[in-house]
Amino acid sequence: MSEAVRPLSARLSSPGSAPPPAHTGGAMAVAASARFELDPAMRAAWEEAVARYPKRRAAVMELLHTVQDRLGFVPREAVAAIAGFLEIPDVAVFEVLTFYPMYRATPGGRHAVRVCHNIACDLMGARGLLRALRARFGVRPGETGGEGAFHLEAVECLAACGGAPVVDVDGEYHEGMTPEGLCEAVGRLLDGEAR
Amino acid sequence: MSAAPVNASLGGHPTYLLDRAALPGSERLAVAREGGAYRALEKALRGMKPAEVTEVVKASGLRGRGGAGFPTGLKWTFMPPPGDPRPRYFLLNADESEPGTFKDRVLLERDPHLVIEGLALASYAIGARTCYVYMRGEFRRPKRIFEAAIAEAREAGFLGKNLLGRGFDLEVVVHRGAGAYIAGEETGAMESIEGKPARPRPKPPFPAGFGLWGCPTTINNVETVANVPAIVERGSEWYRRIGTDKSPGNFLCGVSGRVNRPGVFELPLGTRVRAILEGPAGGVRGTLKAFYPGGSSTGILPAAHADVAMDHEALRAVGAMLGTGGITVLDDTACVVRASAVLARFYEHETCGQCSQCRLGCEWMRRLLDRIEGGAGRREDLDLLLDLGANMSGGKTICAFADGAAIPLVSAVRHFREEFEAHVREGRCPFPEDPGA
Ligand SMILES: Cc1cc2nc3c(=O)[nH]c(=O)nc-3n(C[C@H](O)[C@H](O)[C@H](O)COP(=O)(O)O)c2cc1C
Ligand code: FES
Repeated sequence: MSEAVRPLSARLSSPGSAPPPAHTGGAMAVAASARFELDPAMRAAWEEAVARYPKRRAAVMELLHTVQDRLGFVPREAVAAIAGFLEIPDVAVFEVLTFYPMYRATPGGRHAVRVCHNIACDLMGARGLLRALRARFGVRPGETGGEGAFHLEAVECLAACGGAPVVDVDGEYHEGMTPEGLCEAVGRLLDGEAR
Repeated sequence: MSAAPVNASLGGHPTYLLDRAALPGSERLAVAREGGAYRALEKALRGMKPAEVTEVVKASGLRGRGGAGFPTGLKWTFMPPPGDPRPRYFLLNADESEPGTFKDRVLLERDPHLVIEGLALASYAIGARTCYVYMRGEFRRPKRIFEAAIAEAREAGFLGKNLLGRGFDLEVVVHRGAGAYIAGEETGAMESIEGKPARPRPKPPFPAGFGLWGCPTTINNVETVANVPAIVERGSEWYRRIGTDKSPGNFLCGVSGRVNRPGVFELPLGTRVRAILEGPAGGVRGTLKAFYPGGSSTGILPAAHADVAMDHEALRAVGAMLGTGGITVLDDTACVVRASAVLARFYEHETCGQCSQCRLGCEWMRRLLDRIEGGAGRREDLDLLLDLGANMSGGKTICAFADGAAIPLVSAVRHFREEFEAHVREGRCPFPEDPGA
């Protein structure tokens, strides 16, 4: 799990009082406000991304990914930073952020558990996986469990149907998942945090 | 790593797509070269003009493996003549998001050099000096492996400046998608690479004349280009001896759902579904009830059609399509209404919303199917579903998404009407919550 959704970095702090609620799937996400600084490492990644295309704007998806890979979501201030960097209006970044389902405009959990519930996985037990997570952790798709430790999502076909049912944990696929195996894997995420 | 097997072919037919995929370390250049990687690229760069590469691919009869089965060589000839001053692009479609499809990922992870060699040949043929690879955002592992392979290929002179000293330059850029199925549609992918929502463009203009940034662009699927090295190396006559007359070559057949040995198998086009299910896929768990022959958008067929051949013509003759060649199997404990509802939810989630037939049609479809599956359906709902399907199909929309969403629904009602009626009559789903139970 080398490319885990990393914990919110120390550099990220919410200005107001309570952090905004996790995105629960239904309502349109409102970009969470948070201090975002473009550090040299990320600036270098952004420069490199821009150089791959004939037009700056084309790098917007990669820039959004770099922010989300680091913070777990894309705060409002990062949207403005990306827009400034690419010399496009904020709304041109925002519409990309909200069009593509993988991006988050609000914090999720510190880990991401994504259970495929498309056709092959449905036929091979995806519902049993979701039932087990609900029974064991009280979490339904779209909710965050373990005091913010993990965000559960039911997602569409992951192109791993031969290994159904499939679960993507922090960007790594786990195929042939059983309810027990998944609960153990999620349990390990929580244990890892407790330590 | 995939839990499912690859390359359990039927035996007795030539293979060239997964030969290296089963070797340990197959993603590394040294192993791939030992298995023959880049021989075709050397042959082309040293002795063939770009038009000759296009010619042999055209003569081979290769048809696209991304879903529509368009003749590949013919597509390449649509590019403007070499005098056109604009940059030319090759776009490799690695978005692989059609439900039931999982073969491009196997190639990207297990034999990335076959894909790179194929995209280099395609780029050479059409005169592109930049190839964008549209890779779905979830493919973190394939991206890692593929980018490492690009670096190795570059180091060895198979990519980059002045390939093999023959004056041809080629850069490959991987563009990460972010979870939208519609970004796999050809012009959706182009919008997405340009940094916009992946809303497909009205056609014409077609990509060959007006693609990425308004420049000539050819787009092909990963598996399509993986066929090209063998064609260039061994010739079109050799290739045409595999498969059927109108659908030549091998294809990667992903089998998923209720079978004993799901996996990706390299088989000649024209292989019968029953032979695939009973052979490499290890048999159906329980009794075969139905199958989606080539991804969800190709529709559902009842078991009575299990002797159909997996090729464009045979599947069209029974009202289905070859699509991406991914077979998803339902046994007799699985519910067709539920399968349809699962897919309707997928299409509702993925429609880009530009065309009202599609945006509203997908939502209605999902609501009606949820209602029937949930036991609150009415008799009239079945005809309403068919009416809805008719209003979504037949090229009324900007792209083929709406047709693809309607086909599984309409075919399900057509072939399994009594199952839908049983749901309405009994006021509940008569099948177990967990298939196989
Ligand atoms: C809604 C929709 C989604 C598609 N998704 C993909 C995809 O994920 N991968 C792909 O190769 N082709 C996909 N296609 C087909 C492409 O539009 C295009 O036909 C294909 O990439 C061309 O390659 P080929 O000629 O090599 O088959 C999709 C088409 C539609 C309408
Ligand atoms: S249906 Fe779950 S990976 Fe394809």
